[in-house]
Parts: sequence; structure tokens; C-alpha cells
Amino acid sequence: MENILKKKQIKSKRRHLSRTGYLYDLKMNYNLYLMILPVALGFIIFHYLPMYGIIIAFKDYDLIKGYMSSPWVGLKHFISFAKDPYFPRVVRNTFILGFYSLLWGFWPPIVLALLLNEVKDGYFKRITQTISYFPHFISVVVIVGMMMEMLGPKGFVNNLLNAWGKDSIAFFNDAKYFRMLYILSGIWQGIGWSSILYLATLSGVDQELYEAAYIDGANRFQRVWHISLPSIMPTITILLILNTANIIDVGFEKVYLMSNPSLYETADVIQTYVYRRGIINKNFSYATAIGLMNSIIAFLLLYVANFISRKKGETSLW
Amino acid sequence: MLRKANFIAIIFFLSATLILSMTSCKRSGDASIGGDKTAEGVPIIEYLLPGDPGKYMSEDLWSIQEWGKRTGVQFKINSPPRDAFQDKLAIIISSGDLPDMINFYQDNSTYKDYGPQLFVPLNDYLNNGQLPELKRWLDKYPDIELYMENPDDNKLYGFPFVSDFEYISRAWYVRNDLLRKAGLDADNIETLDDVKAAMLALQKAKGGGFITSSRLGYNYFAGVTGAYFGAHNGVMYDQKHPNGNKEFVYGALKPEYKKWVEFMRWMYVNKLLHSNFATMSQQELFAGYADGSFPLMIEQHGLHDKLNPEHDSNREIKYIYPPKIDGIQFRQTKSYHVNIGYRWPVVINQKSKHIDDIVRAMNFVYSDEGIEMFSLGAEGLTFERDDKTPSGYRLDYVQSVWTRKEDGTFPEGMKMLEDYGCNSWWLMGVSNESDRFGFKEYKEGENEEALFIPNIINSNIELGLVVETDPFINFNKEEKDTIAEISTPLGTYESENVLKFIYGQRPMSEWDDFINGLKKLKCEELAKIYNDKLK
Amino acid sequence: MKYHPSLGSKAFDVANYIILSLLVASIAYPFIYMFSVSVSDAREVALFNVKFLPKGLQWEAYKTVFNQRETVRSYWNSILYTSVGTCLAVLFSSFAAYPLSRKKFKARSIFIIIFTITMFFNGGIIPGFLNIQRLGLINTLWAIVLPPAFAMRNIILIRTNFQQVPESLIESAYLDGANDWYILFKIVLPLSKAILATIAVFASVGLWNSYFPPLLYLTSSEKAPLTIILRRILVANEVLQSGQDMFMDSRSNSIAYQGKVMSIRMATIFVTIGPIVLIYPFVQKYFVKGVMIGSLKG
Repeated sequence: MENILKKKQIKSKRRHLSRTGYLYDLKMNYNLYLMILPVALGFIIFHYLPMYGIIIAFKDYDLIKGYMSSPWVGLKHFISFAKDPYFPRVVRNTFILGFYSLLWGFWPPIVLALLLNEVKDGYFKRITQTISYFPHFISVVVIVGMMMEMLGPKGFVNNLLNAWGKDSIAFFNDAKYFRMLYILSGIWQGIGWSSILYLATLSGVDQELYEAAYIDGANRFQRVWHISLPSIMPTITILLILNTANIIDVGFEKVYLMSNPSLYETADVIQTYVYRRGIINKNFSYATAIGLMNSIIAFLLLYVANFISRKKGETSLW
Repeated sequence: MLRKANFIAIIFFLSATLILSMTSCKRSGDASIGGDKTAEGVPIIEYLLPGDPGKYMSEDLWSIQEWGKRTGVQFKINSPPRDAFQDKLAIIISSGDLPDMINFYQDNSTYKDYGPQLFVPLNDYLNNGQLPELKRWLDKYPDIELYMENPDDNKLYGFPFVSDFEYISRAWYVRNDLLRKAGLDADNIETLDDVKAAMLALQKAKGGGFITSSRLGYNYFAGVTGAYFGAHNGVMYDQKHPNGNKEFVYGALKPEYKKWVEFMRWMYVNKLLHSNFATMSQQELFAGYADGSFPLMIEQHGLHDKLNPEHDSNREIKYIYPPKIDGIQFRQTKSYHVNIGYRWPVVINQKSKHIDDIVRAMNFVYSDEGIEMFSLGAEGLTFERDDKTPSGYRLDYVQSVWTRKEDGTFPEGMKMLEDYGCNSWWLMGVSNESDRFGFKEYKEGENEEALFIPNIINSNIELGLVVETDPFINFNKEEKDTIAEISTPLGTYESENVLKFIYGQRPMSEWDDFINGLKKLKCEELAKIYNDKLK
Repeated sequence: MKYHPSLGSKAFDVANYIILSLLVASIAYPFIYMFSVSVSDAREVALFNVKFLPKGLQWEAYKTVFNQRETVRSYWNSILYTSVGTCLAVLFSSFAAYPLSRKKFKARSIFIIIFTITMFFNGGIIPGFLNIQRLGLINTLWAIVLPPAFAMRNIILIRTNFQQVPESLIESAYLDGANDWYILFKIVLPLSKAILATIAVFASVGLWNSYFPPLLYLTSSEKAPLTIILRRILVANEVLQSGQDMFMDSRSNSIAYQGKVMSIRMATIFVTIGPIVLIYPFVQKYFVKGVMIGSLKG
């Protein structure tokens, strides 16, 4: 009884103190500041010091004139990109690919982690989990190569189709298949690796909770739904917020390898388009400007996602 | 406990500062620019030299050591992997820490753009007799300087890689043995209809299926297939048609372009052209040539061997001449006698302390002695001279046609020319006929086979199917930006729609729509930019 | 408490095993194919005759990879960079995650935003290089190891887990007079072994596969890690191919050579993934379901 009262007193005292400003906080929690100081220094030295490079997005960067003396051109590069006839299409494709990748790719690792978690510890669990992340290590080139072989005119899939009396499908020549293939291969590659994080969190769940639920009559599925899932909810939320920012970040390499011009309608994304421009005319400033635009959009997406999550009372970044 | 925590904090900060101070002591590695001299006073020259993967460069290579010995210098080679070359170059230039010499990878503009500020102009050395060997090549092929001169001061800021032969790039090859089965012969192909008949015959002879494909994506495909039709992506100089206007024009606007698209479409629809031709990998294509799935090759010169890599005597490879399309045979342009789109040029750092030594070393590269050394090695070490062979050499001491055993392997431990640092276009300054067309792949008595490609090129020239190179245009930065701004959407539109026409996803009746679309995207303005620079 | 699985539970298990097995099969099949390519006869590989099982056994590809002098040294370099880098990454991330997980830490939001910005904005390779150069870190292991040690993503993930440590546990520690260092090292970290192991895995894999930083920052070839050596061995055919590379070369004309190239490419995958697969079982034991320290009762 006494302890609880004492705890309450100390808690309220703490809260009262923290209202009196940063300097007081510094004195009270100097250890915390001490702890974070070296990390903050590291960030400053390695990530903030080089950040001035961004200014060339507003300049016409010349390698010899350098960052300081290259002429300012304001928003020229941004405007040039915005005026491009394909700007709407390219941005649209990027967002659609990114959004659907998130929509379809976000939950399979969670499901996998939950399923794996239900398996008794032992060889099957270990081997399955280990094998599941192998695809993460294959380079994109190999994956696209394998996909093209499997889906080619003489590939596995078309052989099946022919056996069932259907015509072969030219998967890589038709814009409507591209998104599906892109997303499916992304899921295949990432499901095991992304599930590691969830598995780790799941392993920290108190076993007694499961036992208590069992006693209360919950069946297997309910135990997963009401205990396992909520226990990784904070992680899920945070990752969802972070991945929302990545919608704009559709990777260049895979799209480039998978596509040919006939697929541009759905497959031409910001990065591939800018790449083609870069072949004609190597322009550091232009590429940096587009990159900056991407970063700003990503950050905005993050901000919105975080805002929504905070409003709903869930875990959030800040 | 508090004391313990403080203790930890202090220890941590001490170690942190220790780390930081340790690291700030170290200076930036071995980037000692301007080079020093060895103990004997021989200048050490730093050379940024990318190589080819698997054939990378280092100063241990025999050829580089020999080069140094014969010219009185010593080389220190920095060889970055090619995929980082652009980044490394940008870092080097912006930090001002350039090595003595640089050889460029896939960059034929930096030497010109930054020439006056960073690199040594060679003109004085050419005029005062320090580069006699290079001078004789420049005199023999005046187009080299035209191509490489800086437009502002007409000076030459880089060493060229000279192509000492006549070359046209596009060629169609066919497995004539399969044509013969149908009673046809490549020699009898004259018109486009003959080509059609031959293609269908090939398909039949191999029992159905595709007969050809491509690699390296759509643009490459368009380049190699369009040549015989006089069709060209993007802007082209109108001289491939005998009555061409000799000015720059947007390729897609010409009627021959439409003919090319129609023919490709016909091929695709009749399943002669592989459905994945726009994305097929090089390996898959070459495998198809090797196992006979693709009896027709539409490519560059020099690849005909891939149709018969195991030298099966039943396979006969023949060249197909450009067919008459509505009575017209389209011409190809000669290549420039300088090849710096992929490797080279080599530049000298203005601030180097060893400019004269480098000039001397580079002069050697263009001498007959140097050409021989870099391409073939040395007498007694890698080859013996033998004027009965097509190349004039016999490569008795390295892996070659003379040392290959019956079963296709080589004697245990026998090195390749590349192991000596030879046979690399990164080091050779001149590629002659013998080198470019691989005369050293043929033994004595095989002159006909050795001259296979040069003969074809020469007969094309004799038949009037070859015209001089397109005029070369130097663009400044603003022009390049404008060109990039127009041609990116234009190229996107063109390639996207042409492929749709070929695939049959868009009917040819919409061709005029397509042309209007091109004009809306400023294709004519783009051609005008080029034409304005002609005057 | 005896646990009697119900019928539904058993059905769940069976379905689970089937789904997981299907997944493994869909992954194992391509991997077996890739392994077969790496050990099949070069000619068969070049003609795309290898469909699933190897045709003709040869270890040339692996021999080529391991025969290079530099391979052994580069393995050691990679191990060095990976272990040092992982320790630093876990250490620094924890040091940042803990304060950011404490609600009483007023400057929390500020730091979070400062750190998060670095996830999206960076100055490019040239300023990055110049920065490392000015710090005198060119050609040292610190250039490889320090920048990734400060990664907000890791900090966020660890912080999320730290936040799940029951507040009451920490409060009672405060009551007993402990300061934040003690709480971090003696309470929070031991309870977070799983997430720390995970971050260690992420960091190690990132460092093990790190290619561009060593390329740009390491100038002497004795310091090159495995990734660089492997790329050098492999005849690169990736992303940017160019037709201008073709010239008369008896070696590249042979089919066997093409096949050898493909085998080597597959071999490098297994060479890279090998150590990870060997180490990972040791990490997995942290993922075994555990019981929380029963200090909550009462």
C-alpha cells in the first residue's frame, strides 16, 4: 500500500518538475543527454556536415567551379521536370507502384512471422525461417533473369498454359502484367527478411499470456489474433509509417531490368525516366534536384502518416 | 552506483576522443599526386586506368612494366571497377587531386569540357617533334582531330584510340546451310521480298519457331535492324538514301522508317522475331546462336563466329548485303577513325610534374614497336614471327589456335595474352586490321577466313554502299541541356509507340497520329538545333 | 497446466506446416537451380540446358573465386568491418534509443526529427567523400564502419522495443536509486536481447554486402572487402551493358567462357550468403520464446 502511494507521489513530482523547462530537464536527466550526445555528434559529423551538397539542386553544378562558385539557377531544374510532358505519368506510375507494393507487400511478412511463431521450436522452424530469407540476398539482376526465364515463351508458366490449351502470354510485352509481376517478385524477395523483425518481437511475448488465454477458452486463431498480433502492433505501426515514406522510392534497378519501352505506360517511373535523361546529358544538378524532390515528398508522406497515427492514439514516431 | 555510472561516462568519452584523435592523425592514404621518383631517379607516373572485369589493370602486368622499361618511367596504376568510375572521376575532379594520367570509361566529353582547365593540350608537342608517332596517325586520318578538338580553342586535349581500318558497323549474317536446304542461298538475296522468302525458309528448315532476336534493349535493336532500311532513331544526318538531303532530320519522319517498322511488325507477327527481343539477355541470345535456335543474326560485324562457336564444319555462315527496298539500297556511314566512346581518351594532368616523360611514354604507344608490344607481347615470350600466317605472327607460347589441343583445352599452366597485359584496348593506342578483325585467330593458309570481315567491308565500299562519316557537332552546355529536355520525352514517345506497332498492339493505320505526336513533342525543333550548328 | 490441443488447433498446425512448406519449396527451387548452375558444366550452362539439377559436375567456379590471393584476405577484411561496425551500430543505436524512449526526456521530439531528417536527405557522394577526406578517414576502416553506425532506422526499431519494457519496472528501479545508465545496462538491454540481435543481423548484413563505400573510400587493395573482390572476379554484365565491348577475342568467343561467367555469378551468391547462413543459427536462439523476468507480480 505504502509503496503504491510513494510511487504515485514520485510520479507526480517527476511530472511537475519536467514542466519547468529544458535547462531543468538537462540538470535532472543529464545522464540521458550524456547518453545521446555521442550519437548526436556522430549524426552531425557524418550526416549533417555533408548535407550542403543539396544546394546544387538549385545551381548549375560544375565539377571545377565546385559547390560554392557554381551559378545559382533557382528552381530551373524542378520546373524543367514539371514541364516535361511525361511528368504526370511518371509520377503517377511511381505512386501507384509504391502504393500497391506497400498494400500487398506489407502484411505477408507479418503473416509469415505469426505462422512461424506458432510452430514449435525445433529443426523445422529453424530451417524454414533460415531458408525464407535467402531471396533477400540474390541480386535483382538474377531475380529478373529467373523471372524472364520462367515467364518466357518456352518457360514454365507458358508451358502450363499451352498444356491447358491456352495461348502463350508475352508477360513482358504487355503493360498490364508489369505491376503484378513487380509486386509479386518483391513479396517473394522480401517476405522472409522482413519477418525477422516481427519474429524477434514476438519471441519476447510472455508465455503466461497465452496460457491465460487458453484457460479462458480462446482457440488457436483467437490467441494469435488477440495476443500475438497486438504485441507486435507498435512495431507494425512504426514500420508502416516508415514504409509509407518509401512509396515514392520505387527502386530503379528492378524496374529498369524488367521493362522495355512498350511497358512505359505503367512501368516508367521517376528514376528510370531521369536515368534516360542522364544518359543523354550527365547533369549532377538535375539528378540532385529530382532526388531532393523525392526526399521532400517522402518526408511529407512520413509526416502525414505519423500525424494520422498520433491522432488515432497509436504509437508514433514523434 | 552513481560513481559507477560516472565512471562509465568518463571512460566512454575518453575512448571517443581517443578514436577521434587517432583518426584525424591519419592523412588521406596514398594519394600522393605529382608522383615521386624512384631511387634511380625514374619518374613514377600515377595512372587512373579502368580495365575490363576479369582483365583488370595493375602495375604488375608485364606489358605495363615493359612499357615503363622501354620509355624510362615507372607506372603506378589505380584501377577502379568500371561501375564506380563516373563517381570516382567526379570525386577526383572536384577535390582537385588528379593523378598524372587518366583513361576514361564511357566518357567522351569530360576531356573536352574540362580540357583547358585541367588537361595538357597536345598541339605544342605535336608541332615540336615530341610526338612524331601520334602525328603520323593524325596526318593519316584528319577526322580524328576534327572529332576530338575542343571547339573553343581548336586544341587537342586527349590522346585518341586510333582505328586504323575502314569500318561499317552493321551486318546481317545467316546460317547458309539451312538456306540451302530450302534451295536458297544468301548470295541470291537481292530484294526485300527475297529476304522475306529466306526468313520463312529458315523457319521451315529449323522446324518452326523464332529465327532471330536481339540484345541490349530496344535502342540497340533499333540500331542494328534499322541500318539496312536507312531507318534511324532520333535525329539523323540524311545521307543513307542516295537522294538524301544532306541535312539533319528526325529519323522517324522519313518513309523508310515506316517501312522498317512494318517489316519488323511482319517478322514479329509471323513469329520470326522472338517475342522477348526487347529484353532478351546477351547470354540467351548467344546461346540461341550457338545451338541453332537463331539462324539469323542482325548485329555488328565481328560476331559471326557466334553462329558457329564450335567450328562445326556443317554450318556455313554467310553475309547478307543490304537488300533493295523499292529499288534502293541504303548506305552505311563509315566509322570515325577514332574510338573513344567506350575506352579512352587518355589525358595528362596539367599539374603533373612529369609531363614530358608521359609524352615520351605515350609516343611509344603509337609507334609500330609499341603497337606490337601491347597487342601481342614479345618475341620469344609470347610469339614468334611468321609471315606465312595471316597476322604475321605465331602465338606459340600463350593460349591460341596454335596451342589449342585436340580436345579444345590448353597445356597445363599456359597463360593467355591477357595475363601479360596484352591484347587490351585500354593500353593499345592503335587498333589495326589485324587486331580488329582477329587475324591472329587464324593459322597459315587460312587467309580467306581471316579476311572475312575486311573483305565484306571492302566490297560494300566498292558497291557504293558506304558514305563518309556524319558531320560532327560540338554542343555547349546550354545546348546539351535543351537537347536532353526535348529528346527524353521524344525518345520515350518514339520507342514506346514503335514497339507497340511492332507488337501489333497499335494498328499501322494510326501511323500518322504517331507522326503528329512526334511533331507536337518538338522533333523538328530538335533537328533544327543540329542543322543550325552545321553552318 | 496441461495443454490439450483441440482439433481446431491441430488443423491449424497442419495448415501452417503446409503453407510454410510451400513457401520453402518456392524459395528452395530457384536456389537449387542457382546452385546447379554454379556447379554444372560450362557448355551446358551457356546453352541454358540446366533446368533444375546439375549437368556435369565441376567446381571451377568456386575454385576461381577462392583461388584469388585476395579472396582470403578480403574475407578477413569483411569479417573485421562487419564485426566492428555491428558493435558500433548496436551500441550507438541503443544509446540513442534509450533516451528517446523515456517520456520524461523533454528534448525527445527534437532529436527524433533531427535524426529522421538524415533518413531522407543526404548531400550526395562528393560532399560525403570530401567530408570523410577532411576527417582524415580515407583508406581506414572507420570510413566504412562509422557512417552506417548512425542510422535512425535502427534507433527507431530499438526504441519501439524499449518502450515495451514495463514502465513499472523502471520506476521501481528509480525508486531504488538507480540512474539511467544502470537501468539501460542492467534492465532494459538484457530484456531486449531479441531486438538487439535483430539489429545486429541487419547491421551485419548491410556491412557484409557493403560495396560502394569501400569502393570510394578505400584506396589500397589490401583493405578491400569481399564484395569488391567478388565483383572483380565476376565479368560484370549487370544493368548497364554495352555493345561496344565486343571485339575479336578467342576466349570470349567460346561458349564455355559464357557458361563459366554464369557459373561464377551464381557461385558468388553462395559465397556471399554462406557465412550469413552459418552465423544465423546462433542468432536464432535469441528468437526462441522466452519468459519475461517475473518481477511484475505485486
